[in-house]
Amino acid sequence: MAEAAATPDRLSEIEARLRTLVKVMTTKAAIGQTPKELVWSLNKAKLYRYTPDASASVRHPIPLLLVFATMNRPSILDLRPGHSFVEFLLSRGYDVYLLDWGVPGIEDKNLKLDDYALEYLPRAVRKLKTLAGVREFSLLGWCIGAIITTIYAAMRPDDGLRNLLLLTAPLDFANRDRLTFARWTDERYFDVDKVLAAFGNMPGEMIDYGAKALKPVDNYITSYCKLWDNLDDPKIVDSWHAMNTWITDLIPMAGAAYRQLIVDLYRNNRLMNNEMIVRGEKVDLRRLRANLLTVIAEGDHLTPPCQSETVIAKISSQDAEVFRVAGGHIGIMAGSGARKLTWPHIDTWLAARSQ
Amino acid sequence: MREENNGSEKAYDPFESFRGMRDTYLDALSKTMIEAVNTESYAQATGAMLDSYLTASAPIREALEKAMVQTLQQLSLPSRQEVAGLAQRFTSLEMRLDDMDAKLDGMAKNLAEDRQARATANSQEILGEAISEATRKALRDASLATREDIADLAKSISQWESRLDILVKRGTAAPTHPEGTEIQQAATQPDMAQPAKSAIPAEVAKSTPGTNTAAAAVNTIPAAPSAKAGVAEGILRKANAGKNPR
Repeated sequence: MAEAAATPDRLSEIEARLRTLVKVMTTKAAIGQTPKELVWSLNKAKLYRYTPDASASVRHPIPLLLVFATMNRPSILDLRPGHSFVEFLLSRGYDVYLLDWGVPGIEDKNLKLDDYALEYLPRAVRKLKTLAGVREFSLLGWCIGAIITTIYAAMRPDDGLRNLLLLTAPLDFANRDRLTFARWTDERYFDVDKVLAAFGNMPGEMIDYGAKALKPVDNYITSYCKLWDNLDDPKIVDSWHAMNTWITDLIPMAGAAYRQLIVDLYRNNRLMNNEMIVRGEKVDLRRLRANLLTVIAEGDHLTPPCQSETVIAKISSQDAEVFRVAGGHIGIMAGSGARKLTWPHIDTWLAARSQ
Repeated sequence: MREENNGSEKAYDPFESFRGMRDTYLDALSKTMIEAVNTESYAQATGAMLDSYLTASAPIREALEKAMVQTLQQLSLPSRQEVAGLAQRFTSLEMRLDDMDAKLDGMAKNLAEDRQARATANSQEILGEAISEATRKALRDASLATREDIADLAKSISQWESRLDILVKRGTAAPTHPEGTEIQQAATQPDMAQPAKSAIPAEVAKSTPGTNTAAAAVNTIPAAPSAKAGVAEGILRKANAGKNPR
């Protein structure tokens, strides 16, 4: 009798699991929920100021500007309430700004890294300094955002940049054997101009395929198996749902900027060799003298540690630190361990330099 | 059939062992695939696939684009490129506006600073007045003269001087005035009861019995006094008359 009564329960359990599965696969989770105010915009780029946390016991006078990659949405920095890096920073008394590059259209296919680093970013910084009433500020660049902020920091050393935080920064492309992307985008196999002539901008779907194909089984099979195994655990389901919402929010990358990424960086490593020309001027990393913290993910398959650790030797900063964390490209900032390890370390480092 | 797990009951899962096998298999497959995609042959293969797709689709894409542009022109509608060109011009305008906005921000900041400086000056003035009033009150309470009292006094003195000047003028205009005659005489002739005042130093006059400060002040009057000095001396002499032993 007990076995017979358990069967309907089992069926209803399976039904509930299937319903949850359909929900997380077909709907979008609410991400990027922390209240913020649009304070500046130019073309698709938008500068937001997050509402300061009134309960924060400390107030840091130096504001922090977050700069994310140009090929993904920045909502990963503010994934969901209780698991948000932005929320964490606000609770620690920082005045937090976010530069959202927006979604480039076909009219933006000529946008280069030059434009991002020396046109959009300086203007956003100018507005930030006016609004915050400060002369100095901190910058946090993640992934391609780290490339842009590094170029900016080296070319505008007198703009008031006090602290520069680089997260999984792909800056050094010398070790080509360890860079799968470098192999795929080698000029023998990949005609970047042909791709851009066809699409204008680099389509988000192709970028997504490239990122996922580095670990095809993990991204296309294992991830879904783990979700199926934990469908009755709301915490894991919510986390998966939020992350999947962010991952599937694909945006293209401006064509000219993508070309620079492939030709100047992946193929010729021009930034690290001080040979990259931006707006007719060489980017000399020796001019970068802001305090620097570079966070490296030991298990990063997109930006292996060898791409981020060598920048320290190329800059003039007197105060520079490398912080290594176990985890992947996104996991070190948005994973379960981020709140215990990465975020507190960033806070400790930045708080001491934000007075 | 149930089994104990950390004190809580968990339903028996017949797929548990299957799951373990699956994970082991996926781990192995994952490692193999990571190695596979990280090879030259994979890069070559995907590159060739992409290239062939682009090569094959290019003529179709170009023909489609050409036809679309022609159709749009016939319908008097803007093409994608024309709209994109406009968008770029808008961005250029936006940048100029942004620069103007920044300049306005700068001007607003300067104005605010100026206003603040004025406000500070005003508040300093207000504060100064408050301090002055408080000082006045304190000095008054202490029965001491304030700066204002001194100023009032100076004003009164000036008024008195003016009146004296008028008097002097009147005096010179009417020399036969009895009192004026007397004064003139007193001024030109040494007081017989006292030594010649101009010859006595002020310090000595102070210490001399029968003289006071007012009388000592008179000693500073030049030996050949003017009419004004004479008038003053006469007034002072009258004032001292009662005290003079004479």
